[in-house]
Amino acid sequence: METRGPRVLLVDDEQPIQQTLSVVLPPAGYTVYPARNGKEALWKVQSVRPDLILLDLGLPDMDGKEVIRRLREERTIAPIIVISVRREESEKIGSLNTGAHDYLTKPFTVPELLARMHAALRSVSATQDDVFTVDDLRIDFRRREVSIGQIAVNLTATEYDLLKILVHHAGKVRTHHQLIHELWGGTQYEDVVHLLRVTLSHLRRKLHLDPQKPRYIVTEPGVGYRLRTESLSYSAKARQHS
Amino acid sequence: MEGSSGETTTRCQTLFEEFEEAIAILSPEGQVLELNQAGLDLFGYERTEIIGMDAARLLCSSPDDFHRLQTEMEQRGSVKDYAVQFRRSSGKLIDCLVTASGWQDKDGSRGYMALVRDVTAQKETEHSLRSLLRLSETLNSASDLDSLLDALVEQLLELTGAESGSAGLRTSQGMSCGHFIQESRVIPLTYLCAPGVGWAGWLIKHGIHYLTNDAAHDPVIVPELRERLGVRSGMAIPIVDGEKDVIAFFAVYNKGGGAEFTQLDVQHSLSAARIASVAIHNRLLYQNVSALAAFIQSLIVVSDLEEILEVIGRQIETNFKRHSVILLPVNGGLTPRFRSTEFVFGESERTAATWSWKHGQDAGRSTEILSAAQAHYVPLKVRGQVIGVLGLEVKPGTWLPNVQRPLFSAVISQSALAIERGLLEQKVRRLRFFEESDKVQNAVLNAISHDIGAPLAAITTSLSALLTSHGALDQAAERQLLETADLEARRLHRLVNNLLSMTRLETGASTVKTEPCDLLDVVSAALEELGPSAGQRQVSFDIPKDMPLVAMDFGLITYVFINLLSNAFKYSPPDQPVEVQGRIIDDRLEVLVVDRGIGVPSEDLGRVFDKFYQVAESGSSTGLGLGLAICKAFIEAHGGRIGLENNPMGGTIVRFVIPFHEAATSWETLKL
Repeated sequence: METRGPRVLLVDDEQPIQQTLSVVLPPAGYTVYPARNGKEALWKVQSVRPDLILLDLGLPDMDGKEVIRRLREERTIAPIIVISVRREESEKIGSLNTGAHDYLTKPFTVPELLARMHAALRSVSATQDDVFTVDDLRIDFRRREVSIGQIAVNLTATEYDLLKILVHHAGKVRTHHQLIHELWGGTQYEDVVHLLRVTLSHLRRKLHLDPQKPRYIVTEPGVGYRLRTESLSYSAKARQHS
Repeated sequence: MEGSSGETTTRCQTLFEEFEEAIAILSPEGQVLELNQAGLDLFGYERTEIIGMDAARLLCSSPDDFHRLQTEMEQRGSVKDYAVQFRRSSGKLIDCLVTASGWQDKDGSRGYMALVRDVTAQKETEHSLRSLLRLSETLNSASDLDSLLDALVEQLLELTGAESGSAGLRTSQGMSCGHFIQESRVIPLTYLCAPGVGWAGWLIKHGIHYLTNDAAHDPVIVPELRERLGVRSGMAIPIVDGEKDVIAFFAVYNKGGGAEFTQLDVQHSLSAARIASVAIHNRLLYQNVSALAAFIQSLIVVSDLEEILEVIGRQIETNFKRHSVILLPVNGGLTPRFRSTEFVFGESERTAATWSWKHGQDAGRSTEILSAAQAHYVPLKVRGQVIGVLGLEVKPGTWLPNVQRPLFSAVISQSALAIERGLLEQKVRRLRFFEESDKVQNAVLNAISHDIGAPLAAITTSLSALLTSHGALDQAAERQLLETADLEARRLHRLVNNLLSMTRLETGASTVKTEPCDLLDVVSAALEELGPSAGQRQVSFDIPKDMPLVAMDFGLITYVFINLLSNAFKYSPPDQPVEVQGRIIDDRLEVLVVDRGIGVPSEDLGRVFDKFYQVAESGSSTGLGLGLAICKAFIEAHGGRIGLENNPMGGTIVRFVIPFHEAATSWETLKL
């Protein structure tokens, strides 16, 4: 069978999800390989050699986190995006710590999923562009300049570093723990998590000038933060439509 | 003649000598010619010291007194019970009554024969009686116990001629000593004597008065007191009630003029103590009655069982200065339902309490049964039924002073009645709850079938229209149908998720997970979630730039905003702005969501947060019923409140507050 674009192993026992995604993903350039349980996933990984794995946590034969652990044991390097109805922070943090790249709570929208998949694949290729843009936000890393539309934004060194880290992992959830480690090194977690929140709060205020527009930095309650890569100017869209 | 005269004289002299009262024969000038033995004893002189001396100069405290007596004698020839004050050889003054008549010898020599009666003791008794009467009057008109004790000490100083004195009341720990008065000045000195310590403590132990005229070597007196007041002599008198219980005491120190306290002083003081006893007892009874009235009053205003137990425990602590425990039966055993923090409820306590409960009698310390326990356990009875047990800590000494026992019994019976009321209230509430929960279940079913049924219907209709259109619809219409399905599906998802969260919170299956949140971030998340419907509306923000991070559950509060904002959008015209205000007031975050819409009828303002209010009302519009109930549950899970009021400018204001605590790292101090 001839295949085009990145190969996606979709591990989910729910027929509607399998059906929908196998319709939606190919037009976006992906080839979808279904797996309906953990065993099948572990076996198919060998033959399919996927570039990306979408994994549900509630599988009939084993817990999704166990699948992640075994995949990582077998040195599968393909990024894993967890797609699950479980909303508990512990599930998210647990998956991310076990080796998942990202976590997406069901139900999700297709643009959301595509943005996350794109980010996951990009982070593996690990090339960083000189300029990053989403909606009005523009960051020029060579010149160390940040702007919203035409307005230049003045950031402190810590705020800039934080933004840089989020851009580097753009589209993916970064946990508090990971961010603290990357910003301040091996500092005590409990003392610094508040510092991180306050710094992020400052940063967001400087970037998020109009509270009615979508945020660039999205809070994942209890887990961490994510820099949005998908364009979400819904107000403009909605106005166009009406 | 000589002989017979001598004989007469001798006989007279024998009579004269044997006469029990003092008889003096004086010359017209006032020289003492003769004085019998009683007279010598009265004045305290030897015969040789007094015969031939000038009576006025030697014996009279004021010579004028004597001259007045002489003048009287000359004018009338006799006096009867004439009051004169004499001075004994020791210097002590004695009050006497003189009955005298002129005397003339056969040989014509003249003089007076005077009969002198010492009435000092009589006068003192009169004085004492008057003092005691005054004491009785003063004590009975005292406004409170303190002024009563002050007055008692003052009167005693007058009664006994002492220089200083004090008084105090019996307490559960011993005897409080205070009300020290010296030279009409109150000395700020109070202390407590345990039984056996000091004179006051001695009185508790022995129940009789204490007297010493050699305080320097007294083994009982509190040494500091001896130093401070310079006590040389003194006596302490117990004040006992009808059952011989010492309820108070007083003491006087240092008799005036360096004299010693006598048995007479003791007698007078004991009389004073009897008078004081009645007055103090009355006062204490009055206090008990007021305390009981206050106790009943404070019980009337509470109906919740836990509160009733708390009130009883606190009142017992106030009135009896002791710790307590209240036990009620649970599953065939006793469980402490109120316990003073200091009260240690061990195994021996449980055994005594259980015995008291099973037998309906007192048990524990100071009783015959299981007296190893630390507390005295009293069954709480209502109409002969034991509904619980109250344990009162027993301090060293007696179980309770007699005067407090009637109060205690009254408190126990009132407590039993109040606890029974609390138990009944609980039962009624439980019954009502079952009744209510039936109603609630119906409402839940109605609400769910409405709030879930409506979006499902919209989704089904839209999608079936698309599936069956066979290309008959234009692109705009197709998109309209898809957007409707999408919007309703999102709404349904949110509702189901948050119904789950609410149920988990209400059943205790989960708790709010708070983390420091940026209020603006929460509102933005809500607006993003609302999607296009928010994008078309004008939302203004009034949130201070330096608003600190507030501890809350990001997801739950986001849902509250989604709900409040979507209501505001739904029930106000599209061209009217919706405002979100947020501020920190003292220790809470206050948030207002203000719209200029149709408002809520004022009679319904209090009910909109009731579960499923709107559904019961009309069932026409979506969301409000379950949504606001969920919001209320979420805000209350944060320890906050939510309310709705009409905007004076038209429309509705939803106001919620949640507790706020300043975080260790404040916004101001952290400029990175």
